[in-house]
Amino acid sequence: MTFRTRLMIAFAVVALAPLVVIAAGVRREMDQRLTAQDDRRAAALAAVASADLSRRGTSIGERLASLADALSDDNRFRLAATQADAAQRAYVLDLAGREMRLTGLSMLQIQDASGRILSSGHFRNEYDRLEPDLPALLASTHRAALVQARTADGPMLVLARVDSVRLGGRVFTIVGGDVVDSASLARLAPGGDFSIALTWPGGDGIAAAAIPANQHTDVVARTSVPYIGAAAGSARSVQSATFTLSRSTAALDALRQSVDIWFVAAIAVTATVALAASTWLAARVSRPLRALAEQTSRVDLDRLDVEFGTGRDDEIGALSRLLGAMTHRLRASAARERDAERRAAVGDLARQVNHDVKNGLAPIRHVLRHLAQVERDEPARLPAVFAERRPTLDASVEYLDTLARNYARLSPRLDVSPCDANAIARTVAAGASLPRSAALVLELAVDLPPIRADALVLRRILENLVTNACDALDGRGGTVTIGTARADGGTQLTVSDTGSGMTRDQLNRAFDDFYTTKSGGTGLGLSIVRRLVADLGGALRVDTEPGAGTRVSVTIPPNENQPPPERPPEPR
Amino acid sequence: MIRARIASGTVFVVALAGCSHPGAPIAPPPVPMPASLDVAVTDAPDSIAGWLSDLGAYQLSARSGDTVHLEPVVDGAGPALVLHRVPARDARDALDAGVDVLLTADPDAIAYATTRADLTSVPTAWNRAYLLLVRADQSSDSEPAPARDTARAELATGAVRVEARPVSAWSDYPCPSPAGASTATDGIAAAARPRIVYSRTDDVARSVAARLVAIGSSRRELLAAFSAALVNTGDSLRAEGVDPGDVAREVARGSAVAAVVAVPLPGCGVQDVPGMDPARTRIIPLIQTRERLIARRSLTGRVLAALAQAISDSAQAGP
Repeated sequence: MTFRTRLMIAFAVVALAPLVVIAAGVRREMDQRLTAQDDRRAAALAAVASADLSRRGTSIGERLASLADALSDDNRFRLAATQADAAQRAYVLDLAGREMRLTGLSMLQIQDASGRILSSGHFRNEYDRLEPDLPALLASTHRAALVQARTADGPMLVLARVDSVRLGGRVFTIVGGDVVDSASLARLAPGGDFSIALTWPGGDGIAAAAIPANQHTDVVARTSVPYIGAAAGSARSVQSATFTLSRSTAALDALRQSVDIWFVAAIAVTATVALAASTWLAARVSRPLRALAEQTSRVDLDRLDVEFGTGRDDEIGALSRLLGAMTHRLRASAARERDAERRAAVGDLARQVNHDVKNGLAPIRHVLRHLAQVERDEPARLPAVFAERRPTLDASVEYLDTLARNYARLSPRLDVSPCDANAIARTVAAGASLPRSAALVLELAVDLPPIRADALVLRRILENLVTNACDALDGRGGTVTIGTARADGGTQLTVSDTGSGMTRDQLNRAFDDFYTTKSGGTGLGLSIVRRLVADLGGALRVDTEPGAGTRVSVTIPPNENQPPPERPPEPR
Repeated sequence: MIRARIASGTVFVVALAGCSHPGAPIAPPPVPMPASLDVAVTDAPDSIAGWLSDLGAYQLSARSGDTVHLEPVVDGAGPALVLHRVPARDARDALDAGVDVLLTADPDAIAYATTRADLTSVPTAWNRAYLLLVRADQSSDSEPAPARDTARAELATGAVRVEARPVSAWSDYPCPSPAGASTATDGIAAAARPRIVYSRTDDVARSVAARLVAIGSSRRELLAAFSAALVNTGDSLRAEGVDPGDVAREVARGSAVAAVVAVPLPGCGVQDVPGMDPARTRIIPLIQTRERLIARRSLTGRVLAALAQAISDSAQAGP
């Protein structure tokens, strides 16, 4: 995982984690408070609904009591009820209907002691029907009860109570009530978020449809009310009906969903912004590091001219300055090392020269001593002895002459002029002594500009490198490749082979004078190459691995003193 | 005979002047007959106008919306009449406002008139019959006649709030004998819905149907006197108002076990009931009803005399 990726993840986590925690906490707290508030509201409304139901029962009782008082004062009813006055029959039949309208009741029936209905308001023509059990059952509940009353149109559910009036020693019961239907239930159900349903044994139940059927509801409260069911023809009994107050959770669910959506939106926006910011910050942080890494990758013992200059005053700037100082120290160390090496090489060379010259001079000195001894002791034989010893002198002189020529090679003189690196490469390739099964490949850059250098030096560099490459093939098959390319404004010459390669130790000593791993080798090839490259101000790089071959790159920097190419005269 | 085509519970008011009632105990001095009188009705003025035209004294002269203009057939024989509608619940208000004639079946208005010394009332002829229509395939004429008479009397005396009498025999209702009804069952549903339908605009029919439902649970022997099919419905029997044109049709197509319909008298009138299918419907006469004519005692003149004569003729046809 890259440093940039880590930065991005870190920024995202830092930005998102607190938001997620806050969102979860706020949602949980809000949910708890809303639920508690809703529960309190539901409980209050349930109490109101229950009180309203009780109040309705009380109101019915009060109206029945008032009606009982009115009946006791009604002489026409008294005549019909106690004296069986047929002239008052029509009056009595319509009495309950009139009183029902006056009292605002939905159901009213007046019965005699035997339970015979004398007058019915909700079902006028129900008169003379016997229903003795209803008043008794209602009285046994001591409060309002739900009753299935009969009408011509069908059964009617009413919240009913019972009262009585005594006339002439006879008891007449009055049963009255308010209808209970969806509309009346809706009045009991407070608010649009609540619904109330009524269920009773053997019935389908009714409900105030304030809440759509597809919404989820929670039961808030249940209230039981006595229920007197059963139609005429079968015995009535007191059972229990239930008012169920339910609450729709749609509003709360919608609120939760809305909050979730906003939280998700906030997290998405924050994540986007955090990602963008982290990307920008990561790029801003990692870009100078990458540049620094790239600069650092160019540093090599033979390429210590990499600049780490920066105007930053942060840690990266400090690191750049440290790397620059390190490179500077490396340059100085390399210079000192080269100087030390040069001094050591000169010392070695001087000792070698001293040794070689002494070796060359020793026969001459011996011959001269012998000739001096002959001249002193036997002058006559001097010509003969000289002739006899002259080959020794000639051989020694020849040796010294050869030695001088060899040493002269260690200090070439540069003849700088524009030269074509590709042409030189082709010439060297033409004269290369390749093993029979080996191949030589030229990978020459097109439109390579001429470089200012000593063509002979370039040729010697390439000849030595190609010779080493061919030797590295060790008589086996393989490929030697000569290449040219542009490099940082200069020219790069490369010679690579698929030969045996070098170990680390071999590479460390490859450029030492007289170090060779080949039988018959002088050990001066790469040493000469290194010096020639240094003379040209170039850089030398070796990439090698045992068994994988060797690639030697020579980079010749652009010559700043090189005059610009001549331009053809402008046509006139 | 007066041919009243006024639905039960409806009222029409005729304001007359210059007339005197021959039966009035104390006749105030006759007042001059005005040239034109306003007449308020609570039902379709056309129906009232047609009834007055049948009297032979008036003829239609103009019509404008719910207002109908009548003029004497003989010029100068009486004042011109302008009929207009008033709601039935305002019948007593019309009397209090000084109308001269009120024709109504409303018991409250009739009872109110009896408390007023300046008003008198006379009944019209029995002008409406209420019939029970039962599907022929679910009923027969085998019910005992005495029980049926008891049931009719029960309906006439307590179930309706208008003046009514039971139809004691088919002679009271000159329609085809029920023996002519077919018992064909083809195309009729096997089981009708347990309901008795009536016209939702007819309060008397609603009362009759409701009483039938009531005795269905408490006095089934009375209900059985009309049709065993009604008793077989048990406690599930209901009364339900429908559109006037659908009452008989509900029975014919089997969506109701019975129906209560009103037909005008005299005459059969069954053939005019919409949706009636005599071949598949059995007709059981139940009760007859009539209205009362309430008039100011001070009214004299030829118009009231003609009305009174006609009413008297009709009354004589009654019990």
